[in-house]
Parts: sequence; structure tokens; C-alpha cells
Amino acid sequence: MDILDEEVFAVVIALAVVGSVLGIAQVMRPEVIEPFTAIGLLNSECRIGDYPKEVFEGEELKLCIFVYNHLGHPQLMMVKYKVGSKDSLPTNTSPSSEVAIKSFEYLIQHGGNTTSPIRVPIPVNSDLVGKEVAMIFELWLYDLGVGDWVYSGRWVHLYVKVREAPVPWLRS
Amino acid sequence: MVGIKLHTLMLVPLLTLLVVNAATTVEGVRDEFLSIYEELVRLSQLGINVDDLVKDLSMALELINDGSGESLTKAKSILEDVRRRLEVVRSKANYEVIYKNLIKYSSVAILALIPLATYYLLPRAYLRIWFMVRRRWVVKHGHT
Repeated sequence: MDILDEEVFAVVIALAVVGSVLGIAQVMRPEVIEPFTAIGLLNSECRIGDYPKEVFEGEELKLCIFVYNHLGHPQLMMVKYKVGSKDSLPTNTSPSSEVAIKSFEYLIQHGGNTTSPIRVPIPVNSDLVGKEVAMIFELWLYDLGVGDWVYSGRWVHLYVKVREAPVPWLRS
Repeated sequence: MVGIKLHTLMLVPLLTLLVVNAATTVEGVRDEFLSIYEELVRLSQLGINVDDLVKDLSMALELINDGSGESLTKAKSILEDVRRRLEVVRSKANYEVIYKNLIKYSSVAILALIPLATYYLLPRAYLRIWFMVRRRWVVKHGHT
């Protein structure tokens, strides 16, 4: 008499083998399969939406910046603020050619993020008045191998129309 | 007039010294920050948990970026504290790495043994249970 059916036994063994292989794969897989970083721009209340559409030259704008680290290790990050146009936007490989007006540094652990309120100035420049400019926020990472900041290929930008400052002394 | 000039002449090197000292301090604190950061990244890549140290180092970075003398002093003291704790973590790092690898490869070995154990132990266990369930059974002659 066959107490344990051979076919049932074969199925149980097959399940054990598959389960074992999946378990080993789970244990051996690297913690971070696809490392990445992220940057986001939020409004003055640190929420998505309701971004300013018009700004005054010389005005200091309140916004929030979100950065996220999923690189597998703590990362020193820098957000560079630049003002440019649609022709001087960064790409995935190269940063904007514009000069950084302000920068913000963050140290984020793996899997961590920060949402921090920032104040960014709109340059006093009569050439910009009446035009739509791009407020560019680029994410740079500190590369220990190079010993310098390296552009991450990630950026966010916000188009705003610049209006003449209502108070004359702002235009000094 | 000569007195004023002399005073001015004496002030210039003093101010220069102060400015140079301040700059050196900022640079020194920043260099120390980067040195600790490099160590933390290395330890983190070995699988050591350095989250608490990173949190404190992040506070130090905020203070360094603030740039005022008071903030720099605070940042320096935080960095000294982080450096002390870092040394403790680093001294235990080798054991922790060995322990983690031991756990990891033991888990792999146990998982790899599951099919073999199933192959050898399942029929025996099943048989034992089968007999245990039927141990009170009485065999009788009967007519079918």
C-alpha cells in the first residue's frame, strides 16, 4: 500500500524547491536594486500646487524644496537655485549654464527625505521685467571619489512672469 | 595725524588675522565634517546602521551653513561628539559585518536545506502521523 501518493509527494517537493529558491534570492538580493534621488518643488505651505505665477523683481520668494535619497548610503546633497529661460534649462546630463544665485545643502540618510522651506530671490534686472523666467532648482550630489559636487541630472523648474518692483528703492 | 596712521596700521594686520582665523575655522570645521561624512558613507556601505550619526551630522551641517561664530562653535562640538561615537561604531564594525554575514549565509544554508529535508523527512513524518492517527484502530475479520 502506498501511504503517500508519489505524485502528491513530487508536487510538495517542487513547491519546496521553488520556495527555497525564492527565499535565497530574497536574502541574497542587494538592498538597493535601483539607486535614485529625487527633487520636488512645493509652494510656500510645502504643498503641491498654488505656485506663484507672477513675481516682483527683487522679491524674495518663499517656497519649499523636497529631496529624497535612495542611493543605499547617506548622501550629501545640494540644491542650486538659478534663474534662466526656457532656452537655458538643464538636461538629464548637463546643468543649466546660468550662474547659481543661492544653494542649499542637505545630508540625507538612505531612504530619508527632507522638505525644507527656502527663500529665493528674484534678481533685480530690468531686462527680466515683463518676461517669463524659469526658476531652476538643480540637485547636485557630493562625490567622494571626485571630492567635488556632481550634477545628478535631476532638476525642477517653475515659470514665473517678472513684474516691475512696486517700491522704487528696490530697483537701486 | 601720525598717531591715527599708527593706529590704522596696527589695526590692519589685526583685522586681517581675525578674518583669516575665521576663514580657517570655517574651512577646518567643513573639512572635519567631510572627513566624518566619508567615514559614515564607508561604514554605511558595509551595512552598518549609522542613521543616528547622520542625523547629528546633518544638524552640524545646518550650523556650518549658518556661518555665525556661535553656530560654528556648536557645530564643532557636535562634530567632536559624532567623531567619538564614530570611533566606537568603527571599532565594532568588523564584528557586526561578520555577524551579519553569518546570519545571511546561515539563512541561505537553511533555505537550501528545505527541499532536502522535505525529501527525507516528509515521508517519515507523514508515516508516523498516519500510524498515530490510526493506532486505536482494531482490525476485525469481516464479510464484504
